[in-house]
Amino acid sequence: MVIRQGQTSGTRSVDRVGYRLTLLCLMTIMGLGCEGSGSQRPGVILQEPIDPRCAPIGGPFPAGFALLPDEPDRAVALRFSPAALLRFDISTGPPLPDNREAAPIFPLDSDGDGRDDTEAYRDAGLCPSNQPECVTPPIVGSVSAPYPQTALVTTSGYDQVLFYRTADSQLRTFELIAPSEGTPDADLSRPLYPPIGTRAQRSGLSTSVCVYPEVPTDSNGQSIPPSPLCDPDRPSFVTGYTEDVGVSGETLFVALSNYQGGSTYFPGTVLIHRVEQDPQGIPIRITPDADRPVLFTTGFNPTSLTPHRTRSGRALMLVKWTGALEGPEILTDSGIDVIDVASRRLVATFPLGRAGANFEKLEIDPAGLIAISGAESSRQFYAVELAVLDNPDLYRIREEPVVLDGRTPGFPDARLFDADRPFEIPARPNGPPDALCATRTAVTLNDEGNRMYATDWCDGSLSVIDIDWRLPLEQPLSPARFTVLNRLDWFAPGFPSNFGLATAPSQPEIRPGRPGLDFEGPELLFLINQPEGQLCAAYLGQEP
Amino acid sequence: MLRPRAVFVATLLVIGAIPLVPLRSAQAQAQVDGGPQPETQPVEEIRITGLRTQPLETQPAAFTSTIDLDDYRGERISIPEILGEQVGVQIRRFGGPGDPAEASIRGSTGAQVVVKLDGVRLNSALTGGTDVSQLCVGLIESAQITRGGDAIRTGDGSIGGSISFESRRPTAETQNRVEISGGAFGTWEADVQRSGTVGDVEYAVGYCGFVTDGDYRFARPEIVIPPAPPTPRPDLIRINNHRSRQSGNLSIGTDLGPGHLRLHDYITYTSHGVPGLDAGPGPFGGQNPFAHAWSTHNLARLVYTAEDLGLWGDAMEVSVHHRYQRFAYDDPGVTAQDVPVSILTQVQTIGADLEDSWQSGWLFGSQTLRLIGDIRQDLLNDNQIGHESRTTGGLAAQLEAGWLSESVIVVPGLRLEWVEGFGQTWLPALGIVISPWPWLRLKGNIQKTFRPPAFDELYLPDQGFIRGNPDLQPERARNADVGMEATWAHVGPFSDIRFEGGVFLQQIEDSILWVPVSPTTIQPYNTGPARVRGYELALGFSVTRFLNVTANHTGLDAKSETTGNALPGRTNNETVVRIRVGEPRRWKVIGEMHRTGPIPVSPSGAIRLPARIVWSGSVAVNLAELLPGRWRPPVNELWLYGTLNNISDIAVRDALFFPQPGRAGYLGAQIEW
Repeated sequence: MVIRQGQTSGTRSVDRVGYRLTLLCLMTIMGLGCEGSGSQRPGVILQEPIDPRCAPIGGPFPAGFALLPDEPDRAVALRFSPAALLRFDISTGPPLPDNREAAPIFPLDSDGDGRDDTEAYRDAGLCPSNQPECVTPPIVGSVSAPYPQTALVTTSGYDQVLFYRTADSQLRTFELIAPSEGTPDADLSRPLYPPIGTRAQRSGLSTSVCVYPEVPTDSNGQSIPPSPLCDPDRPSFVTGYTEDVGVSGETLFVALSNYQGGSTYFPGTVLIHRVEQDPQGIPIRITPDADRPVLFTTGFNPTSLTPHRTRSGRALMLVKWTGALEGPEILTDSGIDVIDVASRRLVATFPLGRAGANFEKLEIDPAGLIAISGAESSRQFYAVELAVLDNPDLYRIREEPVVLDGRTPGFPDARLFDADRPFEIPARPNGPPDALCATRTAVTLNDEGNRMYATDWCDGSLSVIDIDWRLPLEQPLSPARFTVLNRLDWFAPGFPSNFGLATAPSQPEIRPGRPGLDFEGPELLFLINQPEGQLCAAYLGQEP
Repeated sequence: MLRPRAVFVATLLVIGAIPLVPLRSAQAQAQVDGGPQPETQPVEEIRITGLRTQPLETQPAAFTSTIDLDDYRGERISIPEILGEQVGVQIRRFGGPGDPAEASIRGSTGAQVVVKLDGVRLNSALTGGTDVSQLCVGLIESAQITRGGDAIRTGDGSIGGSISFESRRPTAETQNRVEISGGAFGTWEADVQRSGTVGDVEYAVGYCGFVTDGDYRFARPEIVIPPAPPTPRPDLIRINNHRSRQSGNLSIGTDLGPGHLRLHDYITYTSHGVPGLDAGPGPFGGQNPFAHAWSTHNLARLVYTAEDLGLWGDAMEVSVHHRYQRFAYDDPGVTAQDVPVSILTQVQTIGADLEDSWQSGWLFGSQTLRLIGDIRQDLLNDNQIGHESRTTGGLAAQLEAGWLSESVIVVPGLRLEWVEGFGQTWLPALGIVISPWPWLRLKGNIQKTFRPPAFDELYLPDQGFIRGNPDLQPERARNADVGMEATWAHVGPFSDIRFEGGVFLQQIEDSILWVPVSPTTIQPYNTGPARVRGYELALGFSVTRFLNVTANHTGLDAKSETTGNALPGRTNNETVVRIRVGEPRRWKVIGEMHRTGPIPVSPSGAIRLPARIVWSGSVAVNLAELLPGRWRPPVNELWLYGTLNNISDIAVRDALFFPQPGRAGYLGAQIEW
């Protein structure tokens, strides 16, 4: 009984303490507040290289990189998420991140028009009727550096070309001049431009333009109806999917694929702008070309622009169109259109057949004899001879561009390798079969133009191809001048069981100049796409 | 006047027929998922978690944990949180309160864990995984976790193990329970439960409602690539994350002939936004402000149990079940370029189970022979996949033979599993238990398990960027584990001491993984062998009746044998410590520490979420016990409680693109009478 009393007394004592403690704790909970943000220690995610040649770009889907002509030891790479432009020191192997300050993400108002991009897009009526409250931010596309101290980044969704300072990865502003009243271009509605006849400071060049295709048919053969944003009496659409930029002198070209989802593409377009540069060559003022603001490509899905100058000095812009794709399946033909920069006319086209030419810029040898393209879903490359572009008759005004397939009187078949006669790169013997992995081939030429390197997405390899330029050069060139010398099996073949290993190389690029003399460090740069984006650099000195 | 038993039988006729009506009348549209599952598992239960402890029960060869949800009364806690406290179990959460969560056992994927409720499989026939967040604590009575393969009794899919929940059961005396809680992010939850008997019929019926705004603020991760500084990103709000869930359970039973007949039904309806990934540009960071989903899930099982049937067995259980799941998803698209997506999936499963056991005393020992048979058919109707069906069946025999007063137990078993489209598979198992002293048990198991591909993995239509793979082969695995359990009633000032330790090894052939097969397409493939090995430690003890400590640690080494890389999504170590101060029936203050090691989130293992420690605490008082007599309410229990999760407010993620909330506080009350 005594023990029981003692226990009861103790229990009561503990109860009182516990009761007070509990109330105190309840009050503490109330006082601390119910909701936090998880921001006391934000998650720091460390990303490590997956190959000794490579540096992580951060996150998946590397969008591309560009060498900086005015800074030979630097490159900029585009990170997909969080979207930002990163600097790399490429004088070392692997490349070394070079941003002294944190590279900023895309601001909500990326083009600098004073409104958040998504609001501006919605207010401009660009959202589809079934989703009037759409949220359409810019999605990064490609990066190039055609101007000093400046990188141009294409974006889709909120379609534009963003101008970046390469020194600090900050946006660069320029003066955007809207077309004047009464000019042909004023008839084209540009929903995200300053009002007609005005000018404004911007960091993004809007590429959403009402256009009226001459052949109003999409890639599936369906008629294109009038767009509610454009002239209701004519078939029209607002351009979208900004793919690439090309600069020739004071002219800036922008290619848009006008992809509509699924397997549907509207006719491809190239927008033409006049650019005023400061004494250093930095663009400071841009306006749509008053005479020919838009050109339609002869095929669907233009994906790259490559400037070229003929031996006679004529400036051209070569527009590669890939054709309609659905996944790896090729639905329509590929080809290369030739734009005469001076007249802003489309003067010729090289048809490549059902090739699925890839999205990369064309590779042109130093002598300007051939242009080469990789393939989007095969282990091949294609090439056309450029000597035909020296024929002055090509630039005579015609209703249609000259088709350089040998069937146009007076003009040769300028195709060296096309869909019917591709250059087949041997597959890696221990690589995955085509049925398992539909590959992607990208190519680059060295400074002398006698050595080509082709990355193979699925094989994880790099093929070395010799180009024999010994004189005399026959006309047309013999395909036998191209010989596969070697295959460098640097990365894992793309079998599902290898997922997790570094694989899927793409976008090879040889640094200009002579290694050891004009620059230090590795000669070859390329991307590794899986399992995470990496910028890689490799020495080729010991390779054949 | 209707007799209760007559009412019960009539109810069975009506309710039992309901599931068959849509199945029969709409065969063209019916889609079924599910199958017969063995129900009651005569496996020994060892309570190594929660607040209750008890002596070692009859020896189980398997490594199991049994959770009594009543141990958590007076606490605001969810099923994923309870499971996440258990040794060997990792929970991958994809958001905050009520958001999806899947269980991983010993480094498995979510699809490699069979989850059952009242004996009916919950795993999605589409994905193979189970969202354990959809279960309401108030309607669940207990859970048993089996770590390591559980193929003999569970059948296909249990490569990592199994989790078996039981809903609230009828009680001999009438019991009523009401609980309501609310707090951060506009989250409210309430449940009402009543159980008892009416005449010869026992019953339990309950309702649970849950709503949340789910609009928590979260910090975005910073990706660091030395030596460049990381790109800073402002905090975001989790948008379109509201959720409403209504659940109900019914259990009625009566004696019938030599046995007992019972009907279980559990239904859940959920309507919620689908915020998507935190991975993109724009004001919402890639989140989807528009997508919405609705799901309905009903499980019904009719089970008859009987004992001492002579030649027909000493303990027999026979059951039939039906499962219906409807899932609708609507996404008008976020950007102007997006194509609207609308999905409607219905899955129905019908199945039957039989389990019988015989006991004998031959060869100077005791034996229990258990025979198990089950069959189920899944019928899928999906507006993308179309109509698919699959029949699965299994026959198993398991012998539990003990000698020397059960000091040595050998548990061999063999199961023949047949899955339509994949033929038959033999799954042998062997368990051994040695108990040199009553307080110590040494045990080990080896067994084979396998998992056939789910419908999505096989049949997902080609959408350009993603497609299923009809050539997939099942995942096959071999499991082995050894360990020990010990318990002491008192050692010095300590009491209820319980310790468990073990090591495990799992060899998986033909792991199924979604991988890119071209620059633009992903597809599931058998990606070759993987190996998972690790260890588990669990300790629990009390110091007086006012202090109880439980702790566990799991170490894991999970690798792809082809690449040598760590399998993504699993941390290599996890530690949970839970300290309770107070008297469990009067008042309690609980503190929890949950440490999670780095989580690789990429197949290369080169991207890792950082290690973290999350502190949580709660306090509760039972006014029915603590208040003086004249103030004491006329109820058995009246708990008032408060809970504060993630006290230090750190950023938490289990998956790279799915943020979880920071600090969150809740208050609640629970009454029982």
